[in-house]
Amino acid sequence: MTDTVEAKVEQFRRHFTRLGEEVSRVIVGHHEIIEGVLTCILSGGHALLEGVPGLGKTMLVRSLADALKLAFSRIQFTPDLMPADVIGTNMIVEDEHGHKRFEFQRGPVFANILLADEINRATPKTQSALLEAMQEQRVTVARSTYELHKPFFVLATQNPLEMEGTYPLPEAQLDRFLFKLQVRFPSRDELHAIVERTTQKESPSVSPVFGREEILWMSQLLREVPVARHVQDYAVRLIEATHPGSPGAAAITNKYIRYGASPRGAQAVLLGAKARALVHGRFAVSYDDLRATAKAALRHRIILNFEGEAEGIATDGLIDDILKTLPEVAP
Amino acid sequence: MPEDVGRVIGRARRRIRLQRAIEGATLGLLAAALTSLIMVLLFKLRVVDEAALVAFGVAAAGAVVLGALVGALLKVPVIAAARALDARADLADRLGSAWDFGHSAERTPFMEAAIRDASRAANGLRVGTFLRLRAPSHLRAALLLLCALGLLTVLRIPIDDDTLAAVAPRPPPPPPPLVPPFQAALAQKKVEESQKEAKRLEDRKTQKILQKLEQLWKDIASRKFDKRALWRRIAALQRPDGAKLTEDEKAELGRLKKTGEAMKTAAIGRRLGDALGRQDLEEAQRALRDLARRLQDKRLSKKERSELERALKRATDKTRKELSSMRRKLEQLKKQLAKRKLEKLAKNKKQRELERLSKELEKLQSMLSTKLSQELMDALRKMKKYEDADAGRSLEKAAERMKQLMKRLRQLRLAARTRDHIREMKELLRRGNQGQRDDQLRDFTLRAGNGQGEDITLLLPGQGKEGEGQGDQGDDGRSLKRPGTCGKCGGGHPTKEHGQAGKQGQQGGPSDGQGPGIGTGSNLKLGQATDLKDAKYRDVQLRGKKGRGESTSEIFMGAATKGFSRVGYKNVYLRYKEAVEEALEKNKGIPHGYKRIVEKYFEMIQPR
Repeated sequence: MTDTVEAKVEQFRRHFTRLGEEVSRVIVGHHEIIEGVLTCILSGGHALLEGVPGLGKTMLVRSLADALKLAFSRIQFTPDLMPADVIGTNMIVEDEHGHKRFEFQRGPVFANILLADEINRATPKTQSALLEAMQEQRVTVARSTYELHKPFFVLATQNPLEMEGTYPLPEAQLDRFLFKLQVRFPSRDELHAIVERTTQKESPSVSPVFGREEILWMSQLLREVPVARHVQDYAVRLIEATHPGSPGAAAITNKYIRYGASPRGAQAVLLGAKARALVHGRFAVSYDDLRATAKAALRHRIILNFEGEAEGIATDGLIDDILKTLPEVAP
Repeated sequence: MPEDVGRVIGRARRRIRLQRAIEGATLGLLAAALTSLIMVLLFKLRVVDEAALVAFGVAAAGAVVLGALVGALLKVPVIAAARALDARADLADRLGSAWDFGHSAERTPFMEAAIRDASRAANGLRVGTFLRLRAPSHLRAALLLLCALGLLTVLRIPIDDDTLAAVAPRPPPPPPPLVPPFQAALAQKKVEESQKEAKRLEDRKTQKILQKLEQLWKDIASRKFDKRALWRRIAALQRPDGAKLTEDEKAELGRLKKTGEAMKTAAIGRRLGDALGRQDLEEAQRALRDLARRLQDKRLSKKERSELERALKRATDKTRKELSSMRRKLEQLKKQLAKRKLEKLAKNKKQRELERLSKELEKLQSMLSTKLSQELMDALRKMKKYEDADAGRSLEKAAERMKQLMKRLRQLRLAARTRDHIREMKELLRRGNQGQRDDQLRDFTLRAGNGQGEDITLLLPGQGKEGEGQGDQGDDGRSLKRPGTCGKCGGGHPTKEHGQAGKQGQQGGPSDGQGPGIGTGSNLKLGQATDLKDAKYRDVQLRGKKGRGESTSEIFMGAATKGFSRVGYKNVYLRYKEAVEEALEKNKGIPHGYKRIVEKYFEMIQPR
């Protein structure tokens, strides 16, 4: 590893770029999603991908796991999925001496990258089984606590269309996702590329770029990035502006928002901004970094009121309006 | 913090200050140009003078400088300047962050790296390139106003003194006249005439009152009055006392008529007799003096002298008889009085009876003291003795007594007229005041009603073809109505046909048919002359018995036979009023109360 900060930042940027490029060999387009997912991994957070089926969400996560040489597991969430199916359970095993004892059988949560596919199809009980794992990065079964692997990254997907038989994620669980990324339908050119790549004799594959050590180093470096006071103040005021009735609340906030973003939202914005600053080879967070990550970090943390729901207001639009009206330098 | 970053941020702050100074100056210029435009316009309209304009110009220049100063001295935060430069130069907040990290107590390697990065970015950064001075936002408006100001300064406004007077603030309107001007002028004229009369009669007391009255009218006409002071002055006016003719004067005047009848029997005394019959004392006095001079100068023929003697005898005989009769009555009264004093009547009743008798006695005694008749009797007595010169002197004395009586009568009339003047002034002022109160009440009612109040509708009389038509409109109790008149025959009620025209104007009223007809003829338009070709006339002759008194008739041609009258109401009113006043003055037998009714009527119909 290099010694100077400039070299470290350059190394970070190179790793990040290379990882992105490797994933892009399989995944066509979705650069923002790839960058968002990587930011989540490096920030030590989790990502919620929302998009209709067939857009390559699972493929993206699998490719990422392949490129990072990390343990990957996937859980297809269904209504009959039990918490033990996620975190594991104690089972009676017999040793070579014929003694029987309980032994913890680890669930799929014990991996570096966990793909929780269609997470909203599981019951709240099973969904909440992930809560401790996501926040504490450990699980407790029968009074025994088991640390999860590091890094631990949950990437959940959900389908916004099929709402029948689903259990929308509670606000507490949504708040635990660093970013909520919306997977859009690919453009025509991207569709051409997808069709070409996936219908040939040989499908493209992902080669491992770097492993766990590099991920942890990058995560550590990311947290060293400083934030100037006035930039941090902007992030704080941004969170404050999402709360109706607060001094900095915009008119649209008071009209359509029931609850604003939590302090976790501010953390998410700043961590995402730090990652972006490093990716762009800078040593400090800028206003643009905050603005770029604001939507992904806040869109699932803002709860609309009845008026907002009835009028079909999108949280992305609200965040855009707030960003437009929020002064960069505090008056 | 590296010098590069600090220097660049400092330059950015100065640049921002300069920009703000320009903005402030432009804003000041805008305000100055706008107000200067108004000032120059006022100067052109000669509302303000040149000195004020120059002073204002200096103040306007000061406003521009003040705006620039305020803009330059406003605080520019370092972060704001750094952010402005970062945003313009696309430095991703390198300068701002570096400035912040530079002031941090504990610098991390990352911070040091960020500062170095910012220093590299700041090195050679041309602030002027990125923070260009922009045209102020109000510059266009300010320039437009300056152009307008220049145009206004160059242009010459053709304005004359009349226009200036119209533009100049007007003094508050004078208070409305308390009395209509023509009425005030009329009353003033009357006072002036009375004053001349007072001068002729040498009645100084009345003259003084009339002078004050005339001054009051002048003040009212010139509207230089304070209402309270005016009323105080009127109240302080000393009314001439209501003196009347004494009993002996009355008796003398009564006897003069009888004397006149007696004198008429002789040709020489006819002039005197006629004058006394007309109660024209002036003429009678002249005729008597003429007789006296002729008698003194012995210019009377024998026949004339004997006729005069006979006439005087007849006249004095009547007086003598009357006097002897009065003396007898006086004696009787004295006896009655003495008798009543002895009778035992109730105290109060006795007192009243005694008082009545005493008054009657006193009256008779005064009636007996008749100087004029005594002089005539003396003249007769001297004529009998052929002392014509003395007889002539007695007649002169009688004429002088007659003159005194005449003067006394005129003074009394003048006093009565003066009292009338004061009464008229009070009445006119009271009505003027009432009119103002009515106006105020009407304004108040309209304001209070706010357009929802009920207006009093004055319904015009209906006009029909025949005089027998009956209006079918009921009275709703709100409208003032006048009886319908036939527009073509000059009287009567509207026909049913034309009465319906009025019905449209009065919906909601009970249609019991008891009220007067309203509406207008369907063929008539406002201002159009009445067509009389189809009018039906009916002459009515009144019969009366001869010998039961004088009857006078007069045909009024005032009602237009074609078209509308073109004589002003005021003129007609004044003409008629003067005629009536003259008639009232001449006819002495009209009771005062009746006169007052006639005066009141003319007061009611006077034009306003």
